[in-house]
Amino acid sequence: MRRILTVSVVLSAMFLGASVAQAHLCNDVFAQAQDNLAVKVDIRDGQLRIGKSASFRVYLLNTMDRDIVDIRLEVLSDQFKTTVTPAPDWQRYPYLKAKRSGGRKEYFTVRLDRNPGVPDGKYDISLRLYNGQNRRQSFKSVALDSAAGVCGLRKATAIAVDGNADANEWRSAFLCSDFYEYRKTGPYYENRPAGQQTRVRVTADADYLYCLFTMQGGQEAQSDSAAIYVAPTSDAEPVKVVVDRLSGEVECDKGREGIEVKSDANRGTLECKIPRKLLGIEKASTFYGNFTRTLTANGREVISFWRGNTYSELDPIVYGVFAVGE
Amino acid sequence: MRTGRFLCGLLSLFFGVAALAAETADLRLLPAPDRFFEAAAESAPNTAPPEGEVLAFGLFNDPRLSVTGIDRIAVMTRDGTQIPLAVEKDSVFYEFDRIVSLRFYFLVDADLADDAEAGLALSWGEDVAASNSEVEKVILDPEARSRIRAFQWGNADLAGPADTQIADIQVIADSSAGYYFLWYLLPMAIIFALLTIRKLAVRRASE
Repeated sequence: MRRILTVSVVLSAMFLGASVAQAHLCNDVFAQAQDNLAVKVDIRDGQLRIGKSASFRVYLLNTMDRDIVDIRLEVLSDQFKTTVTPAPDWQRYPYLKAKRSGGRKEYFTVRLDRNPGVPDGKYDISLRLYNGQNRRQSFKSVALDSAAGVCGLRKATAIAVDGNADANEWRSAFLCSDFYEYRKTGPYYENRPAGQQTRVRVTADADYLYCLFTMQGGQEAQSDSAAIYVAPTSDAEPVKVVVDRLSGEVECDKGREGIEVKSDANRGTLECKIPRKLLGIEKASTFYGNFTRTLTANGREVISFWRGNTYSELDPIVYGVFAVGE
Repeated sequence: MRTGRFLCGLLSLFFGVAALAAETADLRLLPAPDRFFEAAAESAPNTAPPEGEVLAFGLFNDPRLSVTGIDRIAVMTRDGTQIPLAVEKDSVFYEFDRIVSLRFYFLVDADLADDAEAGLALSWGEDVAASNSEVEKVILDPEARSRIRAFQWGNADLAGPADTQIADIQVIADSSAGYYFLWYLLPMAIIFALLTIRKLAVRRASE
């Protein structure tokens, strides 16, 4: 009798423990998804022109430290009949495996069919990613700017890469700011504002991509480098250019020919001029780009990101989409 | 001549005022995250709010921020009262010799902090004059956690993930959308027509 009681107590404790662990895991997933579930909607400028019907894709990449068991997409609209279909090669749908454990980019295809009697005009549709096991739980709220927006680059004029970052030369260049660190806090990883902030100004002309890095702090740094990642499409392997702020040295997996860098270590700025041909975007009107900074001080290395995190730094789906102006 | 000068003066005044115009953003106070108290594990805390007050802390780096000094940023209440800021000295970050990012805290009455309608707002620009001070690295006291908040600015949706969408996309319903691609055929059609006319003309001339 005592043995049965003991076994019952142990089984109950195990069951209770598993339930608590599952619930905790679930909360962690939702907390992380806000920052590290990458979503890209392949609609240029957030607008879709539709006659009778049209379709577009919503890409997902799980860059969290754990898998998502059940993720679904719904599209909310009164004017259109909507059909959401997971990618045919999404083998374990609705399971979304994390990138770190071998997961890859997956997508939903969204088809919109105009309801009879809906007149020409502009209408908003809303997308919602939710937990299939509890429809009330949404995974993510993302600004359209980052999901479907494009970073417009004005054509570069008269930029001198001379180590003297002049406001008149750079102020109209596109600003990438608000870098964050991807760090473990308690039970899971989170994005937190970088302790030492970085701002990148980006512009381009027909032949070159120009970047100005302004890097906070780092006076006691053993090393302090900025990395530029550029890919022509979301599926392409990015070209990585690493520039050392302290020495001005450049590393690039495609060679260094044509790259010019001038650093002003005292002011914490780096001016770069990189041939578009080297980056594989010679003729491209749009490209995917990202920036990171690796700062080592007091024996501790800290990486900060503009987009993505450690697991997704080589995956352009998390990058910003840049459009080169005329 | 006089009219020209008057117009120049008017334009200068207009652009001068535009340059001085202050930017504003709504402020919300949220529960303090764990990371606010990590420094206290390594060093003794040096910052806690007095009884009856709440301390709001955070990094402010709105892309629009570009001011010449820390006295050009202010937190205001709905009735126009200015709340002084304590700016962490080493957090002030410059681009083109102007401040673009900084970390600070301010104190508000506990009742005001819990009032969703308190109307706290950040204001910054060259026509803002504030009496802010600089402080050394802020190490928040975990013992006072219930009276410490994180501030957030802008119009971000704070309702939480339970009832938000990932994106609103604008769809343009256009009955002619299926025919737009035909415009691409127009130049080819014109060239083809011109070539045909030329050929016919040459043939007729040779006859």
